[in-house]
Amino acid sequence: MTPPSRPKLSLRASLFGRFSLADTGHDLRPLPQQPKGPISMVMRLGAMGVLLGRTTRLVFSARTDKGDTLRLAHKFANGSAVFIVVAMSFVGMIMVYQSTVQLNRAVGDTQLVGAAFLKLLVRVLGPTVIGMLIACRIGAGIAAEIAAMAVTDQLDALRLCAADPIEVLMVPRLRAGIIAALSLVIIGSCASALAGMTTGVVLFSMSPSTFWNFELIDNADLVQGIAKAFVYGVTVPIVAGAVGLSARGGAAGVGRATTDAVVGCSFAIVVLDSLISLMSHVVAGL
Amino acid sequence: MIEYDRVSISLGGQPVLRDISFSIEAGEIFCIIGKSGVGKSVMIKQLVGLLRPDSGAIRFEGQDVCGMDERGLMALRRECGMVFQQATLFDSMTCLENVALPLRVHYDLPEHRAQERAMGYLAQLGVSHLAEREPAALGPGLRKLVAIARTMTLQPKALLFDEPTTGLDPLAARKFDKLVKGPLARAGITQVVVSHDVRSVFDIADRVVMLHEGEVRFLGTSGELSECEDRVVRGFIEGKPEL
Ligand SMILES: Nc1ncnc2c1ncn2[C@@H]1O[C@H](COP(=O)(O)OP(=O)(O)OP(=O)(O)O)[C@@H](O)[C@H]1O
Ligand SMILES: [Mg+2]
Repeated sequence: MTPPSRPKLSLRASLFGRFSLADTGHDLRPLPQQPKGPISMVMRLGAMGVLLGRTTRLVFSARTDKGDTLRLAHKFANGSAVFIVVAMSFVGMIMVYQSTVQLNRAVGDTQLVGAAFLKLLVRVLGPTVIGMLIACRIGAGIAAEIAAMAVTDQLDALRLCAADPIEVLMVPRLRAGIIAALSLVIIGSCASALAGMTTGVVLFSMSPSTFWNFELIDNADLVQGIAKAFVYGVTVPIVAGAVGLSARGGAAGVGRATTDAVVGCSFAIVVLDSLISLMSHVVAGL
Repeated sequence: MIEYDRVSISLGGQPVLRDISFSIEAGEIFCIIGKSGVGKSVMIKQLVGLLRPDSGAIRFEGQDVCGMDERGLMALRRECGMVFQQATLFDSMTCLENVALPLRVHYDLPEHRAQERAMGYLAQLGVSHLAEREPAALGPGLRKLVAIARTMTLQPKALLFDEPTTGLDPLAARKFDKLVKGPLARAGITQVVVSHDVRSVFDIADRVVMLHEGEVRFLGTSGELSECEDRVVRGFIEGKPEL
């Protein structure tokens, strides 16, 4: 039997290849040759962009019930709360301990440790470190669940129920991701601040009122902190979802997807953190 | 109603189907047989747009499936249901929630109304006692029945079954045949059944197509199938491998 000549791939298929998540289930076949290196990177980013676009478009029109969003938000936030509170408390203790010790040596004045720590916490430490923790817990969870559905034909089954997997799976995860990220950043930052203060009071006999100094924090810091939390709340489900939706190849595929999701989410968070800081520096000079 | 017109597809660099043409009439029970790996599943996945043929056209009620956009495919999948070979249920839901999902998504029914209707379909297949069970805890046979119930909820005009009786005990398999010939046929639903079960094929099929090495080897009524003299066809239905 002579093989039929291979048809020209559609532009979308050649752009996104197996990452064609825009999928109606069409063109899910792997490209004859999987691109490697930078091209594959660009393709993945493109696919994530497509997924982000499609999910956002559906966020407002989706008919899935609100129950899903709340249930997932509860699961994400509840499941990570203890982990994040404990981790962030340690981060607070270490930061306050180290900065007090160093300042004592260099300047001999630790008046502003609390103020500086709180500013740093609101702008960077809170959203970014918590973003990373969320990437590990929530990102890995989303990727594993969706990848398992992808490799066992459950996504095709969804399509055959005439349901759009993006609407049914991604929309509630995006909404829940945002809710969870915002609340976890707030809870985690508070825990970190409290632990930092306790360290200052107990180890360096600071007075709580000296530590609890919000003078350095202005509205721009708060906006930046909240903006970062929001952006990470979007990034983690989208990156993890994109990786999960394009998973192929049984249990090994699920494993790969989970690893890729954690790496991808953490990397995206670091990059976005710099971008947002840079942008606010350029735009507002902050 | 369903028409395959010179359909060819290759997967993973291997040609799977070549120049397949046949058509299926409305209300017909049409069986697809052939060896494992010959491309039967690929055949019906193309019909609902899960795979796209490299060349040729597939028409459902006169509309070309291959050219459809997402919206078109959604509409198509409402009319044309499919039960997967592995009876794919959603693990994160109970059987009842699985069956209620299409109702919830499509008719915007509140959960309890959707579940009431879903219960009706489960009862029709005699598996209403499984409603609260998790699909992961069920064997393949029972999962298949639940998957069939889920497909029926959208009241499609056509149903595609991918090896429905594989993994079912003989009684359940005959019960399935009865369902196909009885209520489903009476409802005027066109049914395409991929099967390895020769007995069930003779029992239910109006017409049969046999695929062999990517091509149509036999196409005709089940009566013609039993009289077919072709070496390959005889080998398959009598279960005698050629050496
Ligand atoms: N998504 C895919 N990517 C690459 N190759 C595929 C894909 N799906 C199917 N194939 C190949 O196509 C051929 C036909 O597969 P198909 O599943 O249709 O066989 P089948 O006739 O349904 O067999 P069975 O009776 O075992 O179900 C096989 O060789 C398979 O390896
Ligand atoms: Mg098959």
